[in-house]
Amino acid sequence: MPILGIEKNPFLKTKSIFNSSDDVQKTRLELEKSTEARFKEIDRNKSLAIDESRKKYLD
Amino acid sequence: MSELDKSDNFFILNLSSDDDWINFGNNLGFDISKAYLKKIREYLKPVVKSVIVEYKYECKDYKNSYHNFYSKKFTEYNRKCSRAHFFNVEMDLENIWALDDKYKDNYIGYIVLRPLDRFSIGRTMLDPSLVGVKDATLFTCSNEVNLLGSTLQVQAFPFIGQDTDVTVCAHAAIWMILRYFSQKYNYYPEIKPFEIAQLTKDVSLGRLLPSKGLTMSQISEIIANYGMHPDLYIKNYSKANFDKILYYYIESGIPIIASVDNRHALAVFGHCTELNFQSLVEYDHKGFKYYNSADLINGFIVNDDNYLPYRYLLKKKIAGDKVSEYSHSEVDSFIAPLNEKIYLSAEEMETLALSVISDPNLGFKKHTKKFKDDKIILRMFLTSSRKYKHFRRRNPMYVGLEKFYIEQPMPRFIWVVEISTVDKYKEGKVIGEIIFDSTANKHDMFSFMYIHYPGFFLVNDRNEIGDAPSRFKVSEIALENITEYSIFISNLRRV
Repeated sequence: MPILGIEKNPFLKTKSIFNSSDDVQKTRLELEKSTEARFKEIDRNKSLAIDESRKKYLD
Repeated sequence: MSELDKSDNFFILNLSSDDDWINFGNNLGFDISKAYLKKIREYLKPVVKSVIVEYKYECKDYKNSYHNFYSKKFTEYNRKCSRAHFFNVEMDLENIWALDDKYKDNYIGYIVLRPLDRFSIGRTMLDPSLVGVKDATLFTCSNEVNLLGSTLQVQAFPFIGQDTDVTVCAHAAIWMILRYFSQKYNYYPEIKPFEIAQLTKDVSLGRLLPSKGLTMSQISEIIANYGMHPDLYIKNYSKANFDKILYYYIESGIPIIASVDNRHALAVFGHCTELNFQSLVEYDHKGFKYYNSADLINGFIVNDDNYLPYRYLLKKKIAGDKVSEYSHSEVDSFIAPLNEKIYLSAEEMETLALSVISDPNLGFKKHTKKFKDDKIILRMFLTSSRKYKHFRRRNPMYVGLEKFYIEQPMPRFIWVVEISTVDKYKEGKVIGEIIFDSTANKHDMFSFMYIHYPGFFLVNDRNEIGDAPSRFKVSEIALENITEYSIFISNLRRV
């Protein structure tokens, strides 16, 4: 029965996926690159939505 | 004999014929429009067998409108309402003194009738499972009712009709959602109709009372002044995933105020239960192919204050009982009222999740040990970490992985992206998940707390803000130990 702490679970074998901080930073930058365009679109849409919301009248 | 008893305070009637329904309409304590009586009769006749009408009922919601508005009008309005309680069995007179012993499972709920010439339907709580709602996964809250010395409970989503003076459809939709929150969670305050109308200070379109309507901007303002955080979506500016975002919030147990046909407001609080696997569409995000559980839904469950509660807003309009005259495609905008601890919105979470799952270093294809060639489906929702830990304790994962979720501190709310195969999803099983911190900034690329793919388990120390590899504890699990496990079932109720 696994007890507290990931290290103590006999079914889990520790491994590394990053060898250095540079590797981590490289992954971070790739994620930033892949999300950049979509986040810009979200921000632009939000701004347009706020303007539009002043005109949408529900009765 | 159908009429059981009548006094100055109560009227008790078994409803077994059309004459009984006429008798009911004639004994409400005051006249209401025949159109509204017809509406109530048509809605409840298939299921109701008896009614107790409580006269001189002091309705807190009506009183709020009465004292602040109706009492100032030239016409004299009655200060008190009547409240009609409905049961799905015929009553015996001697049992009315022990309603909670004899009829607690037969209690359908109540409708408050306001002494207004038109628009008489006030606060209404009717159990969906007892009024013929089927194939619905929706939110309900509990309401305790005191009647003739007994305490009865009804599980329902709150409903109220507009009165066209203090409230119009938008106010009614807001009231329904905020009343749900205050009934369900005691840290949200209870708010009444006139108070809702006063929460907007924007009078640039004219007077607030009598109300002519509200803009989506005013609705956002009301939600914000209430103490929640409104997230606004307009279809024209979110075409690609407007429907999906709406579904993510509903699947998270967050009711929505939706605008249909650019003029009418609905409260959205559930979806159809039956899943349509024929409607799945394959998406490709940077080479990661997947399906989205949002595409499985045939429609949503809504309250429309022009009718009585629980209507189906379907993707394909069909004729039928409780089917809305609007279709799902006519939703042109919506507002999701978010708790203050939810900083990451649904579309921001979705963007981050797809980036991670398709990433060359962190992605599914690189690290999964099983199901590599299966059709993958993603299900995205927000939940409280408390509920998630509780569910996982009762529905464990393989090799005790759930214990890491249970043991680790988490923020109050988490976004969960469940990963499954289409075949496993049909069985109610999943194969992995990515869990995000809902208080993260969208620009925080490491906002995930856990990444779990079959045979791969990553824990990200969210207290580390740098790029040290030691912030990630990564483990792998042998192929023979990997199995699927239960999909998370939230607090949505199936009827």
